[in-house]
Amino acid sequence: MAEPVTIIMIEDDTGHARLIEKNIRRAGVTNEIKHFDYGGAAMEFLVGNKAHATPLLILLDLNLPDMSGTDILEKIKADDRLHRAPVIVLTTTDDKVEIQRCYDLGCNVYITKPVEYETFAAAIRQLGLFLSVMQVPDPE
Amino acid sequence: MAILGTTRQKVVGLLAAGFAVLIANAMFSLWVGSRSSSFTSHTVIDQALKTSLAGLLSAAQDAETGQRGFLITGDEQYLEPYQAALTDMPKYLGQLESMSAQNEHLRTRLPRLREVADRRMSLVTNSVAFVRAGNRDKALTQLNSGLGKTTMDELRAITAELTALQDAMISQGLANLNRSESWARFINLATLALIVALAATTGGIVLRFVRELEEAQGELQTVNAGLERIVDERTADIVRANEEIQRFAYIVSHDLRAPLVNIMGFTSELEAIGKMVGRQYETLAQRAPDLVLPETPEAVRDDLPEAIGFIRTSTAKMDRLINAILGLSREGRRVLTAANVDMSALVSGIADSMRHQIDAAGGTITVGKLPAMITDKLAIEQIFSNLIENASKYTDPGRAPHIKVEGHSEGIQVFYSIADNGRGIDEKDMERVFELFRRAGKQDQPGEGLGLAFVRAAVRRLGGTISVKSELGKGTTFTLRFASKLQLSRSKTNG
Repeated sequence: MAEPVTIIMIEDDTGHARLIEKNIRRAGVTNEIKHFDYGGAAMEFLVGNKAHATPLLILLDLNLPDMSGTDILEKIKADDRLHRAPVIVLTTTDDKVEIQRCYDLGCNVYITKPVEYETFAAAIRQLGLFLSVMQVPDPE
Repeated sequence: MAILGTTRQKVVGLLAAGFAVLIANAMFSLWVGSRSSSFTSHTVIDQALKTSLAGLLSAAQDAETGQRGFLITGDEQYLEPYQAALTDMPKYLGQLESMSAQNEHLRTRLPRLREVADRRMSLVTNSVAFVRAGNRDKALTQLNSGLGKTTMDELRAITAELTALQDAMISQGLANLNRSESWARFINLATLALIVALAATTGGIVLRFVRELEEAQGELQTVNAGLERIVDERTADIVRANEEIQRFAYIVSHDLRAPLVNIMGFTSELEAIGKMVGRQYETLAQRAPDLVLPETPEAVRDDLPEAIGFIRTSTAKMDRLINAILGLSREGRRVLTAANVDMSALVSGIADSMRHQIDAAGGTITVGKLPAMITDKLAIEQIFSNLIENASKYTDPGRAPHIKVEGHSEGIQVFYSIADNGRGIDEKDMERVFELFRRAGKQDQPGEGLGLAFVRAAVRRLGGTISVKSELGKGTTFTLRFASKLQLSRSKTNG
């Protein structure tokens, strides 16, 4: 990514978070990655008073202990400053209804985490490659 | 049923009583009728008797009148009534004779009546003969003797007595008739009252019975409605419980997957690090062997890859199991669609896809005529695939496999059986074979112990049952039973 985009990763499983980060890095993405374990903390950072200096890209897990990922998605897309920020849902759920719901709520990409680690790692590396060419709008 | 029985008995009894009363009344009426008709014939006879008696008397008087006229005038013309009486008298006596058989009074008095009448007539005849012979005085002497009057009085007395007796008999009969008629009236009234009472009672019973029936019907409807509601509630409960289990299985398998991804992920990371460390060690061993610790070569070359290998195979197995559960729960969540399925064609298709393998073992597979049913095609296909695959898989090494699929329908149910001559299932394993991850017999075939667990879950989902009969070393028969038309539950199963 040409712009100094900050990647916000909302993922309660630290192991997954670490593996995602490692594999994104292996794809050559060097952007700052901010990791949040809980939805509450992430929302505080995202919709807090402080204006964001850089454009944001959000990696979102749907199964969070404190709040549902779809609620977070809904709030992001309803926020004046954040609604253009791309949201990539990265989760284990492959329920059709859930997928439809996320796209209805304005999610940009929905990715199911593969169980096979090799496939998972490959997918994340490709996501990293995808992120490196993706255009992200400036913050408002 | 008890109410019905006693009511039927009561109604039948009352109707029988009614008919008995009617029959008794009819018989009584017949009797009264016969009595009155016999009385009528009596009165007719009485009338004839009186006429004959009166005729007799008048004939006697006519004869006397004729005799007197002839005696006074000597004119033969006056003898005309006498001449008529000569023929009339025997006629009336003959009539009375014929009537005497039925009339006791007449019978006892008839000889005397005949004698008196004959005496009277012979007196007249004698007197006429005297006059004709010119012996007028002798005739007058006989007349003056009063013999004629005595006989005439005698005749009158007998006829009067007979007439009186007849009148008494008639009035007696009339009184009898009146009495029996008033009896008949009374009996008719009584019969009418009885019939009305019986009809009212029967009607009352029938009405009460009908009312009871209506009430029972109403109660039955209420109970039925209640039953339907209970069945609906139970069904909803079962559907809900089933959905909960499906959701539970889904969540569990999902949540188990997340740590597994980590284990597998970091195992890969470890493996990569291990390889790197290995390369580092090789360099070190070449350049500075004295720095290498004695246990390092074994640890790096054997222990590390071995540990990682075990972690990998274990996680791979765990992954397969979790996937199996996930698959089962996913199949359970799949929305079923009912369609008409030609079972013969479907099973023949499955058999054909396995024929190559069975032919290679020198065996046979035959598919009989199977009843069609309305069901979810994918689920039923998976059920038969699994069962036929099992039949061709768990064979007895001592003989060629023979698999037979048959079916029949009974009312709204359809039955299918898959029979093989394979190695069979031990009785203690009959239930186990249907359990998830459980297998029976010699573990010489690949598999996770999923097939029959899946089959049973799918059969249940289609509202059917599966049962197994088997003898170790002889063969196994699985029997499936379904309703010929799949009833889809109203609730959706998206958890």
